[in-house]
Amino acid sequence: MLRKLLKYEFKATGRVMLPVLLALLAVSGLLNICVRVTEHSEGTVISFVTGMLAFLYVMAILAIGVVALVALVYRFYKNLLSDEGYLMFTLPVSVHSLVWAKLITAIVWLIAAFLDIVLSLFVLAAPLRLGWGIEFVQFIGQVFDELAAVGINGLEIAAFALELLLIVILGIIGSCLVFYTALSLGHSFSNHKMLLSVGFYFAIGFVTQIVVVMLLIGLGTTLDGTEFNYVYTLRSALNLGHATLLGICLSTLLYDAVLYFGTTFMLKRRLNLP
Amino acid sequence: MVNFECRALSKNFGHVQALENVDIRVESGRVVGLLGPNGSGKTTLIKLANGLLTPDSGEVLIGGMAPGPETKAMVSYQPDRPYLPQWMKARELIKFYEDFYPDFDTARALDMLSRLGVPSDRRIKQMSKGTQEKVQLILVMSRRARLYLLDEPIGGVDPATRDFILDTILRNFDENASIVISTHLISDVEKVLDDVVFINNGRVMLQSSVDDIRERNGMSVDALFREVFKC
Repeated sequence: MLRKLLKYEFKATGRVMLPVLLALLAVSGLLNICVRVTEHSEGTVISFVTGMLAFLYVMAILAIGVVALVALVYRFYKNLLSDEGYLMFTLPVSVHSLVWAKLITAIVWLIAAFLDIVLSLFVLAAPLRLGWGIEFVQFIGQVFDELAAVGINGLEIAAFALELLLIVILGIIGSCLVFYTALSLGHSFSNHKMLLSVGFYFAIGFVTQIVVVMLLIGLGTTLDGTEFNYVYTLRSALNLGHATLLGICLSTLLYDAVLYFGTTFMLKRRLNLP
Repeated sequence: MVNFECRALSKNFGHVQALENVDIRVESGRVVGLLGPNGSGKTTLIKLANGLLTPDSGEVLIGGMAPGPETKAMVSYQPDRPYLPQWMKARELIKFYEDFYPDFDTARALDMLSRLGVPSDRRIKQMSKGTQEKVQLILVMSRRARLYLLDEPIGGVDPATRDFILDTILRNFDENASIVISTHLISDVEKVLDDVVFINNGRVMLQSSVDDIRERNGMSVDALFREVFKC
């Protein structure tokens, strides 16, 4: 059932996201052409147009971020907590599937938006010379070689990259879930649903900050009391790095889990459609 | 076989008691009118049966089970408000229902769509309120569900469509299924009802078969309703 939900979710969000993503590529393509033309002519009109396109390009990048965020948060509200909720919550699917469908689409679109921005930079730089690609690969190879020379092998780098990627994805999930939790808390009331949702959003942020600060103080005082016989070697430094990243992963996962539980609990037990 | 049952069901909204100790049984093969004035608790009862609200005490059972994904597969529900995504076309919505409900009869839906003259490639947003309501009813009545819960289903459509829809309901009615229709347009639905439940201020005032009402009280359901709920 999750597959079917995802199909409709992508259809609904794609209506908004695809045009915006394509628009950025179109603007960068046009900008590329205009820059080329201005290199060979000195018309005021063309340089004005080029300037406008450059401005438009920056605005389009900002717009993608805003549209993605608004589209994904608004989608959760519109599809689950407004009148459409009568359709969605009477489908023979679990609340978990409904929330996961929203989460997965959000993650995919945010990643797509990132890739789209990278792609637009390539379009700006087009036509790409093959030489650049070769140079780039050589450069990366060099970096790996140098790291290997001091004893950091490819596996180590892959592990770090994986840990960072995990943190990014867990972070995206967390930032979506804060919106979802706030909306489902606010909409469990009969009146002032949106106002309360905004309030809950800031309240969750506030509580999270307090908890994080308390935990850091706790961690600091515990470490302060313990004696370290820490011998600085490359290995121990790398291990400390892994430990820190995995610690961040775990705490983000815990944060996500709490919010996920909050969202699904509210939608299951305290749903109060208008 | 009991398709729908409420046992000592209560629900509050803050200080407002929306339902109080409600007991209802709906057997298979019956068309039941859930009748009561505005704000009497009809919609709350139907939302509880769909799992859109959680009871404060007592229980709701659909085919013996508490509301969940399994019961939702058995229930065809028409809410009392426009609930279809505005950007979707009638045709896309038929596909949507077909995807999610194994008991959805696509041929029946397409047939009703053309009979009622609903353009299948128009978006819900571009349809009049009455046409939107037709689409909702077509989708809901094209399922071969065990329990139909229709909340004010015929309020916004013209009398000809109303008759067509009531005919469709009766013609396609399966022996094992039950229909609960909540309405205050009693005279229009009276001819299709087997049983009635009168509800007021969250309490069941009367639960009886239509035949009994006619025999015992010697009046139509509409007349009895007017007497019971006289202001």
